[in-house]
Amino acid sequence: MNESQHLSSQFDEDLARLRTHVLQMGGLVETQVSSAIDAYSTGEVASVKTIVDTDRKVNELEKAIDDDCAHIIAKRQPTASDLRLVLGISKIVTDLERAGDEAKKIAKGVRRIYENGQMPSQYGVGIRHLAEAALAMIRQALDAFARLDTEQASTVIRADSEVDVEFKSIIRQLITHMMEDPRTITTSIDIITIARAIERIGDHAKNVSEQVIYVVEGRDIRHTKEVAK
Amino acid sequence: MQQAARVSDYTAYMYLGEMIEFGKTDEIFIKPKDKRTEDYITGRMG
Amino acid sequence: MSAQIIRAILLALLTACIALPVGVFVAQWAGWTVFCCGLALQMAFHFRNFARLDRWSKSPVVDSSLEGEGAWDGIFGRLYRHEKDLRQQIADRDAEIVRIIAAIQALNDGVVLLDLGNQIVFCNTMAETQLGIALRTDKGQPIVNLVRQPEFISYLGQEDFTRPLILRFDRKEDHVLSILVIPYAGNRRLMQVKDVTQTDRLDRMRRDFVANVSHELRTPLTVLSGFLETLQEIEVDPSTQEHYLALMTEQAKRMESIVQDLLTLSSIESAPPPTNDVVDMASLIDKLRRDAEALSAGRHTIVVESDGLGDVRGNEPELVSAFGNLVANAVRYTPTGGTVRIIWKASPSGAEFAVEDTGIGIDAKHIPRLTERFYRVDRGRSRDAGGTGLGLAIVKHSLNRHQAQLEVKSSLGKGSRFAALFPASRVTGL
Repeated sequence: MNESQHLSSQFDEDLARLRTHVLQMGGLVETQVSSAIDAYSTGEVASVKTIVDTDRKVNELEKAIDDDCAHIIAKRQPTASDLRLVLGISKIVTDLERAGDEAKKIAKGVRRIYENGQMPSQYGVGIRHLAEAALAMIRQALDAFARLDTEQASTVIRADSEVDVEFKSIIRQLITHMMEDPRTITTSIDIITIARAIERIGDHAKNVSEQVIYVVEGRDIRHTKEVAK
Repeated sequence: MQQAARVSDYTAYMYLGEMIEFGKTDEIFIKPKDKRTEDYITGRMG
Repeated sequence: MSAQIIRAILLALLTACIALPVGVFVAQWAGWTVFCCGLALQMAFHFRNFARLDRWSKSPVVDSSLEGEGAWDGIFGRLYRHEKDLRQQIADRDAEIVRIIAAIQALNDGVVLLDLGNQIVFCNTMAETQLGIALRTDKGQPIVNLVRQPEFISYLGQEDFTRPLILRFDRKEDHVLSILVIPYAGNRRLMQVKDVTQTDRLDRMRRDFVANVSHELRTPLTVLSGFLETLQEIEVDPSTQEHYLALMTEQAKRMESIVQDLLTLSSIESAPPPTNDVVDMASLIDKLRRDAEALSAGRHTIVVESDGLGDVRGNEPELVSAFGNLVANAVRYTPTGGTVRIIWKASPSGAEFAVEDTGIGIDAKHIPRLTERFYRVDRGRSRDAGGTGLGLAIVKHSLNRHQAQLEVKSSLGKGSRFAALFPASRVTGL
């Protein structure tokens, strides 16, 4: 990644500010996912409201950042690494916003379970572990973007396959559960929704990492099994 | 420079008489191979 | 006029003086030749040194390669010394900077230096661990790109830094950080990051304790008041009255045992260290077995595993109470038909008193908190069994006073093992 400065220092500032906004948005999404995990463990349904409020800020940031990207493209006609950065940011921001939405789904699922008088942790099943893994992936993906570190990005991409495997195993366990005891079906379905949302958060983290690799190396590795060199 | 991008299929970047890089215009402007090319077209130099 | 110019003029005159007689006595052209040669020689001399200086100035090296002749030697000497001094100054200053940085690294707190744009100028290793950053890769990066908590971002954005920010990193490792920002040197900022996890936990425990004690006492008190009110306002027949009085006594006894346990705990904490009186383990274990059988009333099998050797040095009542508590717990939390083992044997580092049961077991996540005051795994069951929630806290304290450690192993549904590990210094007769 080109570390030297543009002739226009204003342009440098614009890009730096853009990157900070993206990471600020990332920070908000991280708190959303983190609150969702807390809600799952403690049943603190008040945090559902915080997650929804944060979501509003996240959505506003998404629009503001995309707007900034359009401005930069129009005004500066960026090329090469600058162009890839702006394009990459536009996609990263979409993935972050969607990850935030998934966190909302988790919180709502948790609220449904508690309102039915059940406790999600009865189902043991490693949902919490899966969620922590997804949160770690988001954190690493954002760090990789901050540092433009393709190695860290590759780690996240590889981690996603493990998350997918664990997710499938959880689904299987829940299905067995449901077959054995039909009374658990309602809650199990809610837990499946939660698990799926977590798995999607992992996917979004992977997408962010793929964009980091595109920005740094110019390689588009989406939809392939490749990882960074 | 944007003119060059608009009208040509291939672009060459030369500096002080030396050819630094030559290739399809798309590639030069999106993913240049040489750092000097990149520095020039992104406005970090020249 | 400079000494060098005078010298040059004098040398030229000298050359002229030599050339003049030649010109007069030999031939005019000879005189001129001698004069020009003289001047040329001087120029060659100067050019040679000039070239040396030119070469040296392109890559100044402080060694003996810079030598000149005549006046040039003086010049070169001064240049050489000047360069050498400068380098020494820089080296000294660098060494001082290294020492200052070492001092910052030695601090127990994290330190991050930020510039005008909140970019990382420097951070010590403690800060790297606390915040998950690395100086090598993150120097120059705005810190808010890496420490992304919204509370932190807004804290940095404000003007007033009189109060520190308390940041909770509650993921697998429960960390609580106290971050204070101190502006310095114009537009620089110093971030001081303290790990206050312990203090935070202690505060929380204290608050929980006070809340718990109030709650534990209020519940039976409420029941008691309720009955008292009823008896004052309503006429009840003697048998109902008997019944109520029995319930009231039960509640009063409950409050009494809570208060008693609290006092015990408090006195243990402030008591002088236990003496070295020898406590006869054989008879103690026998007593424990009999108590267990009484409590169990035939529902469990009580087994004693002891080679009959070894006694503990310490305070007998305390140890009796502590061991008794462990045995009673085992009996209470084991369903009918189960087994309770009382074990006393030598261990690699001293001796071990253990109680094993085939009871309901304890979930791993509760184990670290078992000895907290009023901590209950299952409120309902424990209260029904007459527990106050303070038993294990008292056991742990008593054991600590005897330099012993409490070790808990358990499997949900299979059973538990509570062991008191005594060091060799507390054991005799083995």
